[in-house]
Amino acid sequence: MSGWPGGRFGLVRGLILGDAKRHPLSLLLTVLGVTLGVAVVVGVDTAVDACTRGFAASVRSIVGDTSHRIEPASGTMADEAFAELRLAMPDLLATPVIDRRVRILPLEGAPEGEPTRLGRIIGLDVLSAADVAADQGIEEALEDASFQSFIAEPGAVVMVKPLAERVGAEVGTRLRVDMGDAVRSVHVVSIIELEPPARSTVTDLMVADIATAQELFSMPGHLDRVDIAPRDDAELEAVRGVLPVGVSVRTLDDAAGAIEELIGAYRLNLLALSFMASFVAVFIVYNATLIGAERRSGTLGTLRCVGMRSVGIAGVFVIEAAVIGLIGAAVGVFAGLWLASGLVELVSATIGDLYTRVNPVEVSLSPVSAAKAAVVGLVSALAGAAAPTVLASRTPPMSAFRATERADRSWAWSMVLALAAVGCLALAWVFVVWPQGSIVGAFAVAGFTATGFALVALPATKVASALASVLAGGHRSGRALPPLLAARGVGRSIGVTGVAVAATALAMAMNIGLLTMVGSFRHAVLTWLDGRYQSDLYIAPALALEHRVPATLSPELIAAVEAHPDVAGPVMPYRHVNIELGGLPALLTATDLRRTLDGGLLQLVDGDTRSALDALDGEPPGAATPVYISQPLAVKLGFRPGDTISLPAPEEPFPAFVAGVYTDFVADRGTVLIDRTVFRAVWHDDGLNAAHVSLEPHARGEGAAARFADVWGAEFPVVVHDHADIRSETKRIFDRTFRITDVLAWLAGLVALFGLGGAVLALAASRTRELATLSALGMSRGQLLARSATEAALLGLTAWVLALIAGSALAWILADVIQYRSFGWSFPLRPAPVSWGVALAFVVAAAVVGGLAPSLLVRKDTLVRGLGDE
Amino acid sequence: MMVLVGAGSMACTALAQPARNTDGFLVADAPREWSFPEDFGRHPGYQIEWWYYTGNLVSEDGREFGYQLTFFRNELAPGDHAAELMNEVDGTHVSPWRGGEYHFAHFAISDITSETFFHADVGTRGHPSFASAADDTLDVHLLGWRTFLDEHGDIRLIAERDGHAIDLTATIVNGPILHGPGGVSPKGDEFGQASYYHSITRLATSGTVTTHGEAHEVSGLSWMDQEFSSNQLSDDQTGWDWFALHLDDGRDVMIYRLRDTAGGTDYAFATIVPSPGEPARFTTDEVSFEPGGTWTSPDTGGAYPREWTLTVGDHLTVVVRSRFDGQEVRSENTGDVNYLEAAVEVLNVEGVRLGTGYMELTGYDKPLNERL
Repeated sequence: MSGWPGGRFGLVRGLILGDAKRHPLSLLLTVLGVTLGVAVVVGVDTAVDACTRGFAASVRSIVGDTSHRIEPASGTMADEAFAELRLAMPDLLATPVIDRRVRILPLEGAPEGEPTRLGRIIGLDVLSAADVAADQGIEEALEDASFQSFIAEPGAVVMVKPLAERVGAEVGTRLRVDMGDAVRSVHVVSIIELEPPARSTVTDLMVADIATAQELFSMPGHLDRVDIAPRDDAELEAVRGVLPVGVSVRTLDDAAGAIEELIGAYRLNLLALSFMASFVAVFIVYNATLIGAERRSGTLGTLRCVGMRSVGIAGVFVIEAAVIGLIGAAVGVFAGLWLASGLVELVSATIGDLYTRVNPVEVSLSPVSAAKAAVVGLVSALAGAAAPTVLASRTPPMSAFRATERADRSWAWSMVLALAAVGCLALAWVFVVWPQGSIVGAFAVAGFTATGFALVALPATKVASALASVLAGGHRSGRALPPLLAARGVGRSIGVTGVAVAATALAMAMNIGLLTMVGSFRHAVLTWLDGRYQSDLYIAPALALEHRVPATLSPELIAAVEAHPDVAGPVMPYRHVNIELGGLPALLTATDLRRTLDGGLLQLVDGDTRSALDALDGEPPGAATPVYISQPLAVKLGFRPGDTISLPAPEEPFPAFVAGVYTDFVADRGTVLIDRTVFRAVWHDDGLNAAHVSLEPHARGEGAAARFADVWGAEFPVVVHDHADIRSETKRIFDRTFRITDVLAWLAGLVALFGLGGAVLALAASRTRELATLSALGMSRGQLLARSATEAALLGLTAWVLALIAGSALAWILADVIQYRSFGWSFPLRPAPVSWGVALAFVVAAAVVGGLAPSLLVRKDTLVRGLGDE
Repeated sequence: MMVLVGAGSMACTALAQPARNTDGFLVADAPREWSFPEDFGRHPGYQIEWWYYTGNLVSEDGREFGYQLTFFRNELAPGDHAAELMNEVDGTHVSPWRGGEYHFAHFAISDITSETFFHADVGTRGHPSFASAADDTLDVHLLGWRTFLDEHGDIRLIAERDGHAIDLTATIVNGPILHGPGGVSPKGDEFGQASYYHSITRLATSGTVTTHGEAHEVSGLSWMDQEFSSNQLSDDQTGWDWFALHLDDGRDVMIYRLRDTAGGTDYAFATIVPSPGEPARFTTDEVSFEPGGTWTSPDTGGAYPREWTLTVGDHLTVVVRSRFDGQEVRSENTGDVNYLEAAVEVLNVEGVRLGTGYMELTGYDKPLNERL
């Protein structure tokens, strides 16, 4: 017995390391599969994290000790609200704040094509803010003369050094800055370096006196918020007790965390897609482990013969899988960080398009992401290795030496898996019909469906092989022999072939599903766009269009537009303000509701226009205010026509009734559409974010937008678009939004391709004996090649058919379950034949690889070695 | 009442009109023409200006109170910005914060009977809606506290905080009195080291004083100062002692001195306003100050004299005694300057009561020239 441990350890060590040395490519592919799965998860997670941390940094770092914000329910708050607070709590550390983004135009004399830069102006009262934000070095920068300039001179700003370097500004430099409604002049009275960590995260800042900021943004007497630093909970409670009407206090954590709430569904979708990639990695490990077990069957038999129990055998495979998982995770972390640095721009652009402007911070690995990487690597490796490990460890010692018996074991498993597949699909259906389905439930539907189709791949392959055998068996010619052998071979090695089919089908299904969903979504958006945008011209601030920053149009511009002889009637006004409804962020859009309804600009999914028009006419007198709710909001909050809602307004909550629910793809936050007359009266807000303009018939036609852009753009910082521009801009944003989806789908496909490659090679490796036998019996190379190609084609076609079915199911789940539950958008599905063709090309590629590999391998094997195994 | 804020650097500039210091603020260097009520309003261009009230009041049931209410206007940059820049910022849209002023106020009630002292301070940037002073009459308000000339020509005083309040109407009996020729009140020998300074030395006052939520109908006498300047303290002046006294014989007396680093008199001045008659003014050589007794503040460590023997030539010798200890104002929200603002009684050297008044002692916790 004394020699046992060492001897057995030697065998085990040989079992793992020896195999790795002999088959490094196989090991590499397995590790690569796990790596890719982990990398996609880490990449997406880290990229989104960099964006949210960037947002949080922009919220926190400039306000020093400030811990809370007092903000209006919507729009701005009057200076007097600050005064009320000061009066009620004179000891409270508080400063009025204006915080907005601007577009800095190139300096005069700058080279042609020099881009505009995005900057941020924070206006505050340095005197009341002295105790609040002194740590940022702003006060120090405002000594003596520059302090007087800062306070007294209109347009005076203090600029952070990184921005000054970027725009080429020095003390005394005058810059032209687009505030949204107008271009104004600012001049730099001091350049400062902020203290860390703000120094590295706040690189676009200009600080102005509160008076200067109000003047620059044309908002005299109004503030964006009041930043406060209550000394303790009692003082905070006191603040809550004296808050002016229409404002609320929230912590900076709330403000920083708002981004999480805002992009929650988007982040979840990205994460789900990334997990899909790691899901495919499971199949790779499965294949590798199964093949590894096949390759080492002799050694395993020996180990069992010398008394090693099945638990010990299982341990060997578990250790092997764990090591592969951890190595894959470690490499995956680095690959993920590299991936994240590429994805972060895409993610931030999409968040900017859909939600709010973010400046991502540098990509770095968070402990949570690192933990996720370890878990994903280990779980995908262990999950993939589980079934083959059980199979290998339960093999009776003698059977381990008989290949034929090993091959036949898969039959029983395929039956079990078929039942499991049915179970998974049934579970998916349960989650579909479950009332009050959540987003997580929607992903459960996708997960169970994908798993179901993956599991069904084994029995489907078995059935396909049986069908092919029947077809090939019908022809009694010599030419029918290779196909017959191929069909039977596929059926016999179902453990390997079935998994290869599953992995391939899953990858293709993802492509088909995503392409179908995205194509349908795109079509729905453009159809909606054509219905909603029926004017001739669309005017919006350049700041909004170039940098996705909310900005308003100058009233002088609107007056000029409406006075133009070529313009037919008043503009169609649009004003968007952020509100919170039912605890969720939403948009309140004020427009001419009557013209909107009369012009058929709304695609109603529920409700009618009559009740709203009656209410606008005052029938019956004193009728409540009608609003229309966009579908995303209606889905999230369960609003239906006839419901009464309470909108946050400056003085007190404003009641309105839901007249209808309409299709809207503007924001997944959801929109409440209200008549602008009511909005102006209640919200005291005359601003406009966009204006739609109808032209007299003679002025319409190509070139109108450019013509009017010359007229109005010369005086105001606006962009004038026509319908075609809006369509192409929408397409651009849409495509950018889904570019990351494409990237992830192809990454998942790449993972699957590794799986397929591994499976095909494994199949070939496990067939060397058989091929050698056939060769020895006189089968030509051509016949062997035909057999292999037929085998691969059979696998590919089975996978393709499965992928078409699974892809369609996934498309439906993505559109009608996930999109609907995540964002509240619904749209009809349209087939995407291109995706079918892409999938077919994938199959052909796999068939070619699968056909060639075995014939290449068999050349190197000798009859003796091939037959020796038995 | 002396400066609490704003000792700008000083240099001899050309004697062009109006004279300014090196920061560009106007200085009080020459007699000026006065016109009331217009000169009760603000005087733009000067770095600091204040409207200061104190008084001794008695309720119907004999309860005695003292009060202080002072409004300060601090100009942050020279010039009348709200007016000057009206058309320079892209045409319109001038911010109400643009005035370039900081306003703050101190409010105190001395409950003499119960020997308790309440004080509060508040401050904010100038804003027409809640922190401003009228240009052409007396109307100064800050976050709900206010003093203004009502339709009867009386002065109203309104302030409230934490259950303590005053709501008073003051009828002018004596004043305005100019301290110095043309209102120039010198505070030293350096260029521009002076203020424009006038007082309404006697205001017959009635109204309500509220302490701890309990309102008391009161009447008595008040004193009002208005002073504006741009630089007063020199580097070697550590603080001041200031007294405003109502004598029962009808005379009103204002006496102040600026202390040097040794605690002695660096510069002194006094005005005695007879009833009736022309005010008489006295300078350093004619005025003497003799402190007696000490009260040390447990909060700031400032050791303030409890009583003073004040002498103005052959015209006046009085003992001024704080009504009770602890009347220390700590302006934690508005500059962190600590000073004694005490209701006093006026006695002759034999201890016979001659009247009431207020004294203000600064720079006892820390030299004021280091603080400002």
